Amino acid sequence: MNASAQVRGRTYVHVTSSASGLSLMDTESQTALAGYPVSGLPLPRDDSRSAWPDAWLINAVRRDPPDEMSLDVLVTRYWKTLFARCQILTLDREAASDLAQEAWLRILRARRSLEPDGNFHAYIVTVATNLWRDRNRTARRAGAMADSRLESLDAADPDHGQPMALVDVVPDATTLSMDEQVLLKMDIDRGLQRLSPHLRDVLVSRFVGGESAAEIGRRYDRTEQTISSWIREASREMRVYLGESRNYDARAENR
Amino acid sequence: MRREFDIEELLRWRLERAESDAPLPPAGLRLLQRARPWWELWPERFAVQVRRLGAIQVSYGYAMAQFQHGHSGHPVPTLINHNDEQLEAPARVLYMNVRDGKLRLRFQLDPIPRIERGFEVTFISEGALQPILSAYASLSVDGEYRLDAELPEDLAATWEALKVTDRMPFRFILRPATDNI
Repeated sequence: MNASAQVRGRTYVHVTSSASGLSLMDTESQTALAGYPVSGLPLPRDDSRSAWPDAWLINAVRRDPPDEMSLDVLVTRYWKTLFARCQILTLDREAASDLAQEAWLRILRARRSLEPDGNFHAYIVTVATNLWRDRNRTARRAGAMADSRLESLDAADPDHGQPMALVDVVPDATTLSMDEQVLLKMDIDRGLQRLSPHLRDVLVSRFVGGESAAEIGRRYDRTEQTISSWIREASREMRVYLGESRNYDARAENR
Repeated sequence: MRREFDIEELLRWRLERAESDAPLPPAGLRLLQRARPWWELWPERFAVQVRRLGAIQVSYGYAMAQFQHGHSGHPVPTLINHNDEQLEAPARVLYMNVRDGKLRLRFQLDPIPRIERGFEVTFISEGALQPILSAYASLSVDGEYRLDAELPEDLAATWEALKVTDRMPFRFILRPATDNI
């Protein structure tokens, strides 16, 4: 996958003005943002970068050589949310850290094509998610979740569109003790682990990424209805697993 | 006290926990070092491989005769670099398009020495044997490798006119993408 990617229909493309040698984005931004760190101008030596908007930091990272302090600020600014998304995809702390760093490496190797005014957070999460999807592609073809099985879900609608509620199965997480929170985290991870990468992807894309079924469907070349049925199936599997697991825990506590 | 808790809330709660459990971010300097192209990181290794790549002779007439069954395109001399071994396997460019400075390319390895899900593809200029481009190619369901890459202006201008049936002005060094992690 190339580091340029589409984020919600927006493509990151590097455009250079042949006349000035400056990127058009630089040129435009000079008029829009006072103090914008365009190529050729010295960067400040102080630590004021933490207050810079993404566009300034990205422009500083695009320079030759890239500005390390700006990169540090940018990495730190989005590290936790990027790691969290990678964690919920990989369900492994070390793998999540590797995936998040690999996303950064892909971006840095094509840093000149970064668009300062784009949604950087969405962009890097998209890069990481695409890397994770690439890794799962072969395994998916191998058959654990073959397309034939997904097809069989297309018509299934076991809950007839009712919202998936976990009444009396999962307690209010805000009232849990630390030990109980650890157990709940493990249960959620195990539930997600049991899902095929396909179903985990659509569930996370829908409920964490906020994508609509239609948007996910375009990526999978499936109809909105099909994706909705996948989401319902994934939710159902999670509910069944969490129900079984937490009822078992409750029984164990009562013994 | 228990209350209704749906999947979305559950996942968002898990995400918040993951954020609070996140390790320290990597240093920018370390990332920049790791992001340097491999031929800068290991110049000696690159020199050895590019010498071997340059020595690959492709008999175009013979190779063209071997691929009469549905595929067109000249073979591209290719060196596949696994950790401790290099394999030669000609790549066949099945599709190449340059538009708005962006390259779209599909190629196939024939024979396939070892299936890899993705490669870091280093384009080496045919004449000077210098690295001119690096991009990632991923395996498609058809067994082809596909890549999209932004091209520098000079390459875009030169390659825009290339057809898939032309002799390509580059050779490939392929490295399994996981080697870069």
